[in-house]
Amino acid sequence: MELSKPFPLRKLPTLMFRKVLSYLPPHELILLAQCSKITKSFVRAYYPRKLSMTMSFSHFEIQIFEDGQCYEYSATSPDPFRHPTVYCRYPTEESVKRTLELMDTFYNTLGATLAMIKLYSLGEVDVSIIIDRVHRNQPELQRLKWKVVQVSESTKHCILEKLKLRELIIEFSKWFKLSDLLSLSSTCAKFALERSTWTGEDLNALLKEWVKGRLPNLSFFWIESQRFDEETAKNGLELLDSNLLPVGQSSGNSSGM
Amino acid sequence: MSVEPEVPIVQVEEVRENPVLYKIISSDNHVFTISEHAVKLSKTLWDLITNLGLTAENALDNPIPVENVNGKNMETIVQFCERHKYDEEEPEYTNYIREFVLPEWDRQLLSIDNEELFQLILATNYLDIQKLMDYCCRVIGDMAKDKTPEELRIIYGIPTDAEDDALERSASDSPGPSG
Repeated sequence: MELSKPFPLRKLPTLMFRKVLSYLPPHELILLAQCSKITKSFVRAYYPRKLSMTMSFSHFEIQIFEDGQCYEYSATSPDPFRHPTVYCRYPTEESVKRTLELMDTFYNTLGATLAMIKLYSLGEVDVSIIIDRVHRNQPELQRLKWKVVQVSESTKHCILEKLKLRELIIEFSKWFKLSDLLSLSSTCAKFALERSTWTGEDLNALLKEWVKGRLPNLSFFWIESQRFDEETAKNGLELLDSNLLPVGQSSGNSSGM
Repeated sequence: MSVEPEVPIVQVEEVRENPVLYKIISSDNHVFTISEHAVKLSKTLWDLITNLGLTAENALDNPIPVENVNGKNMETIVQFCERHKYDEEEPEYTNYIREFVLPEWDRQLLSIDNEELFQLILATNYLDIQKLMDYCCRVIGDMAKDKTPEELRIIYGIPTDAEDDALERSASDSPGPSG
């Protein structure tokens, strides 16, 4: 049987080339880009869709979002683009490295921007490496979810000041003080502090600073603590009923504004 | 058990058929007849018909020469347009639904060798037939399914980096227009 000649993909008119690319899922585009440097530059230049991604360091995986569709890629798969849901066990350092490489591939080939990072139970060195690598590609990040029990002052500032964050969610946030929040760059619009040790005075001080305009971009603040009461938090402030929304819990209190 | 009634497709088509027909001549002098509804799928042809002022009365006496499309491709295009002439207009986003499955009839029509497919897509681009462009591009995209980069290189005729470099060198070594 005579084999058909190759289809000259790179010779297609631009409009057609873009259409063909738009029908390929992210992993097939990456595999196509791996054919040659020129093909990669074509894919990068003509891929018409806007992609965003999230990077999780609990499962070491990347999710790619495109027009409501989500594709998941395990960074610990030996071949994430052909077998995206195969999970292997590597030392944490290696898993972090592979996840960052995957992020770079999606960024460099398809221009996928990182929307969220989940930093779970990682050492300070790993966290610093991750933030540095992300910062190389983009100075801003929509959302950072950080779960860490303890963190040094230097790492804390390195992490929180390097990227311009729009949303910051800290789990186990005992280490995150009022002064940390006030010293953060004013780009952050949403804060959530889970399991914090803030007192009513802390919350009250924050609210007063916020009213004064110290955090002009802040639009939402949520905190969970066992150590404050609503009256202290409201002291000296004139509040509309709808502004402070305490949620009673058996183990503590949380408030959202 | 319910039995689906037979739909009299032919009769419906006959009732809906517009009697206005146009003649098209391909680059290799093959003549094709196409209905008004079908020819409207090609923006280029319909603009031409409108600009030439062709009407039901004079359409068949004034064949339209299309010098960029040969008879083989024109035959496929006419078949496609006649098949889809009564399709409802799809919202633009439909083009971007990746899971869309090409209808079997169209897949059969586009089961041609790669060289022919390439020529067909150029003709489709020239005649500006959106739906056929989309379908051709889907067929081309489907070739990439479950393939390795090495396989893709063969399927799409993609040179290696070394071959690209060699091509670039030979292009820069060759004399320019002035000598």
